[in-house]
Amino acid sequence: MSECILKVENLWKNFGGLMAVSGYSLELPRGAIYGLIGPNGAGKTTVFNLISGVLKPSRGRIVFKGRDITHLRPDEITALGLTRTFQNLRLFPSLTVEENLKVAAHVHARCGFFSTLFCAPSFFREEKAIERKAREMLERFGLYEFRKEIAANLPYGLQRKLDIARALMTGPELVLLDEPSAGMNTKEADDLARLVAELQRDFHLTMIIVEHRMSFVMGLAEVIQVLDYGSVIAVGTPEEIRQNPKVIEAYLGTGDLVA
Amino acid sequence: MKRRIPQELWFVIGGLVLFGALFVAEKTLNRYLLHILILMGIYSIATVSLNLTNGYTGLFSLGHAAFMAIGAYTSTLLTFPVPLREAYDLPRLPWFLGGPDAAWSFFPALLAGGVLASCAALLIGAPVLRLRGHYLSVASLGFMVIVVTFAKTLKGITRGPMGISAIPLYTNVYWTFLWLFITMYVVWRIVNSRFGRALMALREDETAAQVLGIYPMKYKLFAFVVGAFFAGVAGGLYAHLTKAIRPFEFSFTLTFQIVVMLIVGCMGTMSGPVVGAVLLLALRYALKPLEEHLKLYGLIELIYALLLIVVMLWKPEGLVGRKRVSVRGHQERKEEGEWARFSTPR
Ligand SMILES: Nc1ncnc2c1ncn2[C@@H]1O[C@H](COP(=O)(O)OP(=O)(O)OP(=O)(O)O)[C@@H](O)[C@H]1O
Ligand SMILES: [Mg+2]
Repeated sequence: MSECILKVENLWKNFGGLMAVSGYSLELPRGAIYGLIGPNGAGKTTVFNLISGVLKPSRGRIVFKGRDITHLRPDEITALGLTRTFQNLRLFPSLTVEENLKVAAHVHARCGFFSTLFCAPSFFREEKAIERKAREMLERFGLYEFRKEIAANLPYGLQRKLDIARALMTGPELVLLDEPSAGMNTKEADDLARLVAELQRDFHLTMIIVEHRMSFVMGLAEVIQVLDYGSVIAVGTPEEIRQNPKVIEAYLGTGDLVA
Repeated sequence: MKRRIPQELWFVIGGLVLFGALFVAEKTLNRYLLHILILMGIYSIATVSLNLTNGYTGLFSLGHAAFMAIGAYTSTLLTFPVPLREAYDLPRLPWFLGGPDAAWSFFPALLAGGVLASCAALLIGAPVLRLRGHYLSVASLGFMVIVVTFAKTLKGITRGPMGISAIPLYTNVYWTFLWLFITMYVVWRIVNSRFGRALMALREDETAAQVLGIYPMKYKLFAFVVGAFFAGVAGGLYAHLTKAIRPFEFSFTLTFQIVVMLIVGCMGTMSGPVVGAVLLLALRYALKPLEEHLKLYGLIELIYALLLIVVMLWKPEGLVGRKRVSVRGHQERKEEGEWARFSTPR
């Protein structure tokens, strides 16, 4: 097994009286795709919020590339190469598709205020590089023809793609995808699954995918964790998970576990 | 083949045309009209710089008048003629500002006013910019009240409520529009760079911006400090135009005026704030004879308020604004975002 890129130790989070995450742990090998599933309200998004630094854990430790990131700000964590997408899409609605991407190139921009002010050559060089990178991403995601479109006016499926593209613009090594196929039809979801697999290969990404669409996550992930009431009730390959009685019970009546 | 003229070139052309026009204006307009023209320039500097926080970054600050006050008092105190200081009860300059026999010239005094306003912004920004939405607005308004109160009570420096008069007249069209040009240039450079993109991203969705690597506090402070600098300069220009300043001039009325100008013109665009400032001042001076004739003082403020309401109801994106996204939809999203911070993100 290869190097462990992310290590989460005994993570807890409560909101007032509600225990959203209780004792979540994970050892994620570099280059792997892991799945995180569980019924509604199980705490999956909260786990992402904790890892990406949007929320601070009540207890526990998060180590990314050998570095303790538990107390870092989200932007610092992103700069280290860990970013995420959002379940409820948080695009910059009144910026264009291209601008949405360019914003995300910020982490690696080095050009200072005064070079910007006085139009130094380094400014134009950097702007060009950002443009090139944005264009590459636009083409890959099939968004190029929409680049001047306002993000809010994009069809929903493309908005989801833009969200992923934007995350990749930060040049991450680890990406957390929160329900990337939500709201898509089966064909769109299948296309997205193919794209995600491609991206993972081309950008050497490690990923954690939260999904309710079992076909999507079972097809991509090599290991799946099942979360229920904030704790992991099962870990295993997609095949093992599908047959695990505890998992079937957790999903009982929800009818979600039809692959 | 048609070649697009790059934005950079437009700026140079615009600058040349502007100063040509100013030359003509200065030679042909009478003093009253020239005075109005200069005021338009000064208010434009104020609104363009306010736009950086309120328009691009989505921080609805109401403290801009305070920065103008700081700039106005700073450059007044630095430039005040030495022989008159005694008679006007004004202190002489301490040694580190040039000593008791020194009076600064105009340009460095304006700069000093801007820098001091920026320092104030840096100081109060750290706590105030932590707040969101209405809380930030109210806190920045509180800052304005504090500055005005200081101006009223620090009698040894500011002469208190009666203010300072006999300020040397330095401001002219060239100074004013040079500064307006610089202000617009700086804002334009910022907006078209990663800095501006970061500011707009923060306006649209702070959490998303942060997850994409933008540290909110840094860029909010940046917008606030740069905006304050030009507000300080505008204040200095104002003092050296009207030749007299009193604390209350930098209070609610001024705050209200520049905010209305910005909203009526259009927040978050290059030309909007200038259009707003020019239009509303034109309206003010067009209506002034009527106001005096009817003895209905405050009529103009009333009309400003009405105009604000009308614009917010029927053209909330401002006069020059294009609808990019339905404002209502945007606001719902914003609220959802804000609310999500305190309850479930679902
Ligand atoms: N910021 C918050 N404040 C208070 N409670 C929260 C917050 N975030 C999440 N919760 C609660 O924590 C629990 C876990 O929520 P979470 O969003 O992590 O679930 P989830 O597994 O992502 O669900 P879904 O599949 O519906 O997205 C829920 O009961 C939710 O109401
Ligand atoms: Mg969720």
